[in-house]
Amino acid sequence: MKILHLYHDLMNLYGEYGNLCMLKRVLEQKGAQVEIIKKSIGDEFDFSDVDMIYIGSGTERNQKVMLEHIKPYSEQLKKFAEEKLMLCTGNSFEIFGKGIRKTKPSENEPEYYSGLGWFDYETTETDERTVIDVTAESSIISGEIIGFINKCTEITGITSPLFNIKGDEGNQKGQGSEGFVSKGFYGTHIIGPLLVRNLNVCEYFANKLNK
Amino acid sequence: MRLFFTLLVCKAVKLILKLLGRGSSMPGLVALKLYPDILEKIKLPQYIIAVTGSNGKTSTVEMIAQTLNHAGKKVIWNKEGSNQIAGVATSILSHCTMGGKVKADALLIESDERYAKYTFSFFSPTHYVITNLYRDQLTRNAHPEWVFNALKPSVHSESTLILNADDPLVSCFAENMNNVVWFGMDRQEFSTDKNTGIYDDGRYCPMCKGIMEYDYYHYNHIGSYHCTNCGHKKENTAFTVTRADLDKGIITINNEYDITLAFKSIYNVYNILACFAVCSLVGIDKKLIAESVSDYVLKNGRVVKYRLGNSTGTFLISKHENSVSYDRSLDYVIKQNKPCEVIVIVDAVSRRYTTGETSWLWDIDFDMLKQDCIKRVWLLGKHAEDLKTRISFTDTDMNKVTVNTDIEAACKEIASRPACELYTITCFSDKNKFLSMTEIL
Repeated sequence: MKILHLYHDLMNLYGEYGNLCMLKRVLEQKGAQVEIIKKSIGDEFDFSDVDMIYIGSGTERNQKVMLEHIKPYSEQLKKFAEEKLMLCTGNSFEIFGKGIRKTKPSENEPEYYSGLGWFDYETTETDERTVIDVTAESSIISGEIIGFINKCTEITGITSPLFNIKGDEGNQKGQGSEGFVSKGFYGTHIIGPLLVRNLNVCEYFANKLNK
Repeated sequence: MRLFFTLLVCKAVKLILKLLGRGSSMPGLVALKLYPDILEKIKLPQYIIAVTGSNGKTSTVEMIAQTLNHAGKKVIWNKEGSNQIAGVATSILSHCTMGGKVKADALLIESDERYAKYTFSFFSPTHYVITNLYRDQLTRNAHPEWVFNALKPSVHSESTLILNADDPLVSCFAENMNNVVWFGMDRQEFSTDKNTGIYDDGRYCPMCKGIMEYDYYHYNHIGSYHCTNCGHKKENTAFTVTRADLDKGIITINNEYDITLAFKSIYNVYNILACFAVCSLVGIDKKLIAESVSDYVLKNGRVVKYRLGNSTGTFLISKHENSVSYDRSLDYVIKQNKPCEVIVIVDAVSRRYTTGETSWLWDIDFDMLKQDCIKRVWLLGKHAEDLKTRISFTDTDMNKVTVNTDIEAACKEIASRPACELYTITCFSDKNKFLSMTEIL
């Protein structure tokens, strides 16, 4: 079994590799053999024999670097996310929507970055951060989920959220719905690392992989 | 008249607080309420020295104060914990005459990274030191680039900037600035060709995001770098640690000035170097600076020797949510290479806010705990289990790891054991929970 950790050295603000450490351990306990492959800028990407792709969170600038770099792979990757399994934590999942609007772009920076356009949601990036401990539940993963959110964005247009958090710091202020799910694609702003602090979520992905 | 009145109120508040046995930023806060522009109206000393950055502010400021005092200068500085604007205002206003003149040769300011732009909108430092920018309290500071953007408006062209050339992000403050003085360290025996940390914040250029290459690393992303795309690079340094022998505890600055270290850590070396640079620039004799900081034991409680039961130990202040500080403390322990036990405490992640955020534990190079010189590892506090989970993914032998969420009970257990050398690694927020169980030496 192969798990591809994309942009491991660019999108790595919140100990995201811990997610894959825990997933690998849980899968190995189920008898699977797991290999984690790390690829980033400067590497050729090949998704053909990969079972799962994971991307973590980064600075706002690094997110834009990733967005630009990933564009040539968009079609191939979209097919992968429809058929297989892809998890994005933190701001990485924002790039797969329509785009990212900056309310206060810095000098020489565009106001709008077009996303990969896979999904209909749109992100607005501000200079204020939402920083909060959260507990959540999910209609597809049983049990309570705990974690932390540290973001400067709001996302509109999501109709299939992954989580419902207790509180109103979800995709948009005033909403509990958080994250996004569509076929094999999962996105959430909950960090922790998510799969380390929530073995139920880890089990969920392990079972998806270990069918 | 307004100035006089505000100063009167400020001093009265200060006096009342003093009678109550309390010191705080209240006098400055009151003054700023009564007269928001008051800091612009004050006649400040000839030298205004500010220090900011993720790590090393307090220690650097303390050594600058020590050196300037040693040289016979009168210095005013804001002590730990009051590095936001109200704290700075308090120390300035409580040291000025009723005519609004600060009676000192130098004003020394330790400035919080996020609040510096407010403080320095009223006046600019003559000398502005930026030590480093690391991942530090991400729940509060977001990330180093965010902090860079917050700090940038505090940097004015009339200041002499004193920058750490070995930090690629700090180096970006030099852009469009006229007066920049660089400090840094030459390659040493302990420098490495590869980054040894869990993550590498020097991988991508902070200017253009091109791939960076390093000639060597001193630790984490601190070292000699150049961008393969835009050419951003470590600048030539005016103040240079040309030799650092951390085993012997001696460094040489600019091939000439030997300084012996009371605390043999690379952090301490950079703090001394920053102090040396700024004190030289304000005209203090270099030999005198070297004398003042040689064997200087910091009084700020960052390193404390203690006794616990039969054992003696060293308390190494580290900062939660700041993996570089943990890495340096762990590195310090293994560099001593003596049989020891290590106590890591994560109880309250912060003293400012309540959070269960623990993702930063994954940024710390806990693999260092596998070293044979570390005979036992004690993981204590509310997050002891989180620490254990994290460490279970390193090559550390988990049989030598003891987990106890109850700090007091664990300290009693440690105290009853045979004598050994202890090291305690934790943050301000948990410091006294441990030290109160010990005898400070």
